[in-house]
Amino acid sequence: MTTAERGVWSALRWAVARDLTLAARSPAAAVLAIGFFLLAAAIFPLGVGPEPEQLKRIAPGVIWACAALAMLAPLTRLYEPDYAAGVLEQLALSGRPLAALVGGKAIAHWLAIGVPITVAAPLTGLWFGLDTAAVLVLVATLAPGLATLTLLGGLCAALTLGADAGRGGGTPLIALLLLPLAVPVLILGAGAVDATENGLSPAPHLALLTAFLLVSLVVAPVATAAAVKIALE
Amino acid sequence: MTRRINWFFLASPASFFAVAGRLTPWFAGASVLLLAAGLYVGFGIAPDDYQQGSVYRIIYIHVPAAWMSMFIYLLMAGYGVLALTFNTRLSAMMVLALAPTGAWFTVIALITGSIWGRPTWGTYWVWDARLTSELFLLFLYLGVLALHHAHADPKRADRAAALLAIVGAINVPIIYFSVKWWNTLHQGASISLTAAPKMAMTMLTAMLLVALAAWCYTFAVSFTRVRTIILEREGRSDWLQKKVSA
Amino acid sequence: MWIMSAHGWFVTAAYAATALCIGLELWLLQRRLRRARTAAAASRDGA
Repeated sequence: MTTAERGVWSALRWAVARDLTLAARSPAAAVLAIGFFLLAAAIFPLGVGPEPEQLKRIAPGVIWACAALAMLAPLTRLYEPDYAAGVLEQLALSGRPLAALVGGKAIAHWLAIGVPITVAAPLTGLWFGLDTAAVLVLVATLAPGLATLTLLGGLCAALTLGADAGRGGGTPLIALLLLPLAVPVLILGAGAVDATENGLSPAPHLALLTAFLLVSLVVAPVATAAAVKIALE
Repeated sequence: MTRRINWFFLASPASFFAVAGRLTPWFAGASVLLLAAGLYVGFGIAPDDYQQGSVYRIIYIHVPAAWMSMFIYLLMAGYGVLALTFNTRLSAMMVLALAPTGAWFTVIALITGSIWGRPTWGTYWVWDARLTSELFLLFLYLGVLALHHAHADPKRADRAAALLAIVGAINVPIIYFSVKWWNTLHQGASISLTAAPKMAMTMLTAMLLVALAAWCYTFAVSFTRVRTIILEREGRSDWLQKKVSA
Repeated sequence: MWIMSAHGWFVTAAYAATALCIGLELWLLQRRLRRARTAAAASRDGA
């Protein structure tokens, strides 16, 4: 490895370790995210009725949408606390590659928030009457899908850094920014489960989801680092 | 021609202010003339459609509006790239000057598409690829405007909005293709509003004339808006004081 | 001609809606421009 590469990996590992440690100290965020996800999914049958066929049909989209929405609120905690405490500035000035630090934060956030939601998802599968194959595909799509949403969400969170909540900042703004970007992921994720339910192969969906994740892994941290620099100017 | 002028004056709000002010009336006038010509051709010369009768004539605004909504987004993102790479104030202001116009065109495309859908497909809304993409394009525009509004510091607001515009532009084709693919999977929603009449030469001419009118309108309005932004931000500066009192 | 066709009113509605949107955009813009001009003039008088 060249010195530069070593710098990137070590910065990445450092950021992941730090953010995971912080997350472990306040597990409330993960618990709330899971709670929101499950509650949001649970109120749909109350709205549309308990008819099993209907629930099975709307399940992929509803569950996926609720998972995406559950990712939103925790995003405000991805950069705001560090920004307010001046830590972000220190990180930017530290000489470590900012994109790697940003990427590390995203990975840690996915592990702390995205994975718990993914693990809780089979419960919603039970509620909506999905069969085993569909539940497996649901989990298989949520893992890379929520990772992509974390990367994109981090970008949106960084863009809103320093925004005045009174002028329309905060979670609703992040939602407005993130959800259009999340459309392809949502379509692919829900589409994969839908395909499985109809006896078709979810392979193309999963392949595309993976492709999206890979592209986001390359592009998002760079753009997010730029957004952080804008916020620190 | 216009592009060279833009380049030359891109750096200085002061000179752009004057040039934009002089060009605006010409663009406005051209817009009105082109629109009149387009509508004359479209209504007076172009024949009724075999299947849709006269209703298809909504196409003369629906399609140009949809085109503009996409072109303006790309132009906005282009100015965003300039703003971030060259740090020119004027480029950042152009991002903000274009966004509302682009958003309005998106709204027009959605409304006219919806009205067109009712007599032709029996419903005011269909989740066809184009309308759905237009809807999300509107959200992208609103996002740029909302993000800019949320930041109190204008410089940070400008740069954040510019970055978001660029990110959004990359996503526009991605969103479009994924929605198109989604559409083909769900057979029920695969009616497309653009399964439109085969374009007779006259229909195409009318549409192009209206599209040109829309471009001139865009220049006129965004020039006026950027002058407004310059006034808002630099209202105290000397060169502007002279202009305002002149 | 078109106005007498069965779907004439849809066409009218579409064009009217467009005119409304353009009108709104222009009205809001000129309102913003007028405010900016007044503010600039005021800062001149005040300064």
